[in-house]
Amino acid sequence: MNELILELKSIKRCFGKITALDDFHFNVKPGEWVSIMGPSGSGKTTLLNILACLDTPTSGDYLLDGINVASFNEDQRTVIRREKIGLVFQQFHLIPYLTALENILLAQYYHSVIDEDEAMAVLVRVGLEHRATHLPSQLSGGEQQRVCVARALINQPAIILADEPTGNLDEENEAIVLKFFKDLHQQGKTIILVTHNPEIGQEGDRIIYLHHGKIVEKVYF
Amino acid sequence: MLIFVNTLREFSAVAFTAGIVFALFPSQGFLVRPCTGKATAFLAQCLVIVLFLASFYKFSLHFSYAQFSSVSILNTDMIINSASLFVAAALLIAVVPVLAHLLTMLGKRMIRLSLFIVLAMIFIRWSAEVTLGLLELNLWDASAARVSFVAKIGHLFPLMIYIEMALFAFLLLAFFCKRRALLQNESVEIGINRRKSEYSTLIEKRWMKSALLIIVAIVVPLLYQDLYAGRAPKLSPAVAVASGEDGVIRIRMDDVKNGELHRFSAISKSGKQVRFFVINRGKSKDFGVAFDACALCADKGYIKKSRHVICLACGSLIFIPSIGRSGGCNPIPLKYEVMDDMILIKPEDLDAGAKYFGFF
Amino acid sequence: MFFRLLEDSVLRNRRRKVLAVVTIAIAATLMSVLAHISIDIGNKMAKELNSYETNIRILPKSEGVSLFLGGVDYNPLKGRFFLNEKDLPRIKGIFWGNNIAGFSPFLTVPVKITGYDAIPVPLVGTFFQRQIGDVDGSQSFETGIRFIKPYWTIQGAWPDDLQQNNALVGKALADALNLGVGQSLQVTPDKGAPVVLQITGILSGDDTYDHAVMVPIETVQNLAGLPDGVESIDVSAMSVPESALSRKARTHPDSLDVQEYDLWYCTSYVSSIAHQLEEAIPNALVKPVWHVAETQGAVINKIQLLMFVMTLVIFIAAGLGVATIIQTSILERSGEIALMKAIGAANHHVALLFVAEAILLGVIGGVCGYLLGMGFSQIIGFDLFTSTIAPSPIVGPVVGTYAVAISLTGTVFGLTRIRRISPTAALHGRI
Ligand SMILES: Nc1ncnc2c1ncn2[C@@H]1O[C@H](COP(=O)(O)OP(=O)(O)OP(=O)(O)O)[C@@H](O)[C@H]1O
Ligand SMILES: [Mg+2]
Repeated sequence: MNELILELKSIKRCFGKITALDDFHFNVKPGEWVSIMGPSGSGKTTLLNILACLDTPTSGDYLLDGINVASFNEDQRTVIRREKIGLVFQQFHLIPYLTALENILLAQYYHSVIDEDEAMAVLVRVGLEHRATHLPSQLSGGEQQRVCVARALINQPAIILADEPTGNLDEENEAIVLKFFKDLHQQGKTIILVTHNPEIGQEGDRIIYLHHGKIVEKVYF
Repeated sequence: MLIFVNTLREFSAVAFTAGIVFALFPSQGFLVRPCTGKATAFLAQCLVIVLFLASFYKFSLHFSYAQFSSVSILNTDMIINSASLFVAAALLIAVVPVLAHLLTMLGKRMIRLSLFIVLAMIFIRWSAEVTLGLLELNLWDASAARVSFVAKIGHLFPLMIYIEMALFAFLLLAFFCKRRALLQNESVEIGINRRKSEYSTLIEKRWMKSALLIIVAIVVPLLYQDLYAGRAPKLSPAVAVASGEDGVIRIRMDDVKNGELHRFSAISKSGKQVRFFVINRGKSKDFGVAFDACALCADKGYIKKSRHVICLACGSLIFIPSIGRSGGCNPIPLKYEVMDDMILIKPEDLDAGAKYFGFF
Repeated sequence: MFFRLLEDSVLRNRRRKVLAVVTIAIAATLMSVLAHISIDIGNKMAKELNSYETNIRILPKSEGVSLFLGGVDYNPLKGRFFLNEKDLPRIKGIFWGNNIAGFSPFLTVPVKITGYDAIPVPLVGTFFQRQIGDVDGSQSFETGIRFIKPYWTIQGAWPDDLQQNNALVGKALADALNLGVGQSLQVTPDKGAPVVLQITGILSGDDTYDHAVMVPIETVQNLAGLPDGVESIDVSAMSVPESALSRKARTHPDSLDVQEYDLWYCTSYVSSIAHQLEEAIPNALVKPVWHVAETQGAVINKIQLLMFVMTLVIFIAAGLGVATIIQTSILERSGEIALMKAIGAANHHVALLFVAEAILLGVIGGVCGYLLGMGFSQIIGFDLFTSTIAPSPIVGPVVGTYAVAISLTGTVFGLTRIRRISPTAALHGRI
């Protein structure tokens, strides 16, 4: 019925005098892979924060799966984020004192109940079953990012949001992580990926270029 | 314990009404604002508040610090009694959300049923209170019907909390059955939905466990108080003794010399059942024989508790060596004679005491 | 998962946690000391007031009160009022006479013991065990100090009331003067001839008479020239503890309804027994002797408000301390909290972690404080009342609740910060 999974209507996000997003219109269809590029400070992370329901826009409407979440309070946003969105960070952001497996269990715990078998299955999927009991400090950057991807996937969200997921990785690991995104795309997940790397950007269905909080260019493949 | 039970009794209806009101108007939240909220929801919450104030007034009438402790310095009784007041309040406050949740999950019919039962009890109870108030203020004539209505409801009031708790238990059971049926009908979930349904099961289990805990924590102390601790002490059974052919009652000294209170009953000439007791007052055979009645406080009788003899009517302790003498709250002496190893009680002496028994 | 998080949370940042525990423990120690002392005395007092055996003292209505210094009455007997020994049977004649378990009269003069002239000792005359007739002489009643002091232990034998020279000597005095059973003893009053006494027993178990010589009352009456003179009477009565009803009867006798009046009239309250005794004996002042209530209880009663204010102030101070510690720790972990929120934690998930930790810290602090306070209370109790404090089991929960309440209050104030931590920090990499 609703053809769009994400729909931003004239979103504006201001930090004091700085306008990070300005009259922003943006639509995403289910299963689409959109790459977002742009210079530093152009508002990419701000956009992602709003899309992830981590932040509320100063004005404008945001329809997520047809629900207007722009006016949701913190608790409501938390609930919808748990259900629909998986986050992958540039700096991985694993909880340092929990093992790889426990980091995934934590996401399950906040979502509903924990299930070690399922968590283990996801770890197998990212090829890290032998690392389950290792702390993040005992993992390489690539492995940490794979745990982070596993954590984003564990609650089976429809949308994956990634902010420069390969920014801190070498080429080999970059390829591994990118492969996961391609797989996910194939499975029909909606992916929005911020990157500085044009090659990665081209993996998506389209690229949008941001500058000063506005879309300056759209490229379709 | 008494304070705990009394607090529960007085305020349970308020808690139940509050729970039902929250279930009736789920989206209205706590303290509806009169202009923006639903008018019925506002009125319902007003009812809860009025009910609370009325109960509070009733509670404060019987409330005194002397109930907490006989001593003004912090002591064990005082702490236990104050704590029991808080625990009772906490339990009743906990009733509200749990009941509201159960009812919300069970649907409109159950809400209406509970509302009807609870409101009916509240109505009956408070109409009796109001009648009593009007009678006391002499605004109403004390007709027999009115007085007996007030008295009947007064007797029924202690039962009301049991009815409420039974309703609560019934709702819990209904909820349990409903969930079971739902779970059985559900197809086996896979993936994320399985975890979500497991989670909701977990949460519902928590609600049910809290409900069960609350019911147990309220009902067990109530039963303990009503069936055991609060019961007036009972007389030990009286041994029926028959008089001999000459009309004289004979009791073997060896049977009654152990220092305990030995209660007997005999039929007087006037056909009344007359109780008396024999107690060994000292180490040797020094017997006190007396009617099981007091000249002041009638025929409630006496019991022996550890090493004291106590008058059941007033709780006064009787100095055992003084049994057999009249005065104070002592049992009315019964004349006796000693012959061989027997205590002999003449029929005319027994008849003399018949007038103390059974005039109520 | 929750316990896994709690485990790490508790084990991290130990110095700050120790600080919080110490803060709570200090407050709990104070509470523990106050609670131990107050509750012990409160319990003793309640036990005394709720006891079914009350001691009542009958004194003459007079201004010339005896002046006791070191167990010796320095006030001359002359010029004082006395009770009359002839009135003693009236005690059993009151309405509640059957509830009088026993009584004993006293008359005391200071005497010097030959050979130890320096120190005057009290020579106490009393009834040991004798038959007393009723007012009308119809029935007799056995009474004396034996019946009202069942806890006394006598080494040797009780004196015979008919032998005027029989004497009982307090243990401390006997030890000091090296006196033993069977020895004789010469005592001299201020004015008058010396008397020779025969020691039949040594008394222990009562501080009041530890330094005294006790004889049949006639001996003292003769020495003092006061035939039938009685200074005070101790009565032991079986009574019902004062209740709301008896208080009501005393303050508003008219407000009792018929049932209440009957019940009150038919109940042997201490106050009614005392009142009847006062009526029965001419010129008598009668009051129950409540030892704990009048000594230790009176002290605690005076400082109870002070103690309450102290615990309140300490509560606030310690609570603020804990709040600061918790706030710092939340601030320090704000990155982690932002991340938890980003991956789906609600505020209550995070708050629960801190609350659980607060309860744990409160319990640990409470236990430490309880134990420390128990030790201190012994020292203070001994200092104040020269008696040890029996630790009553209720103090534990009281101190525990207090400690956990401090910890929780502090934490709840700190928790407001959790709401203010924005999960956007996670994506921005500001963790
Ligand atoms: N919390 C904040 N307070 C004030 N200004 C902010 C805040 N967050 C972002 N900004 C501003 O908003 C603008 C957009 O920032 P944003 O982080 O979205 O950029 P970005 O495109 O992600 O840059 P980068 O590629 O370096 O990550 C910047 O000018 C930044 O300074
Ligand atoms: Mg950025």
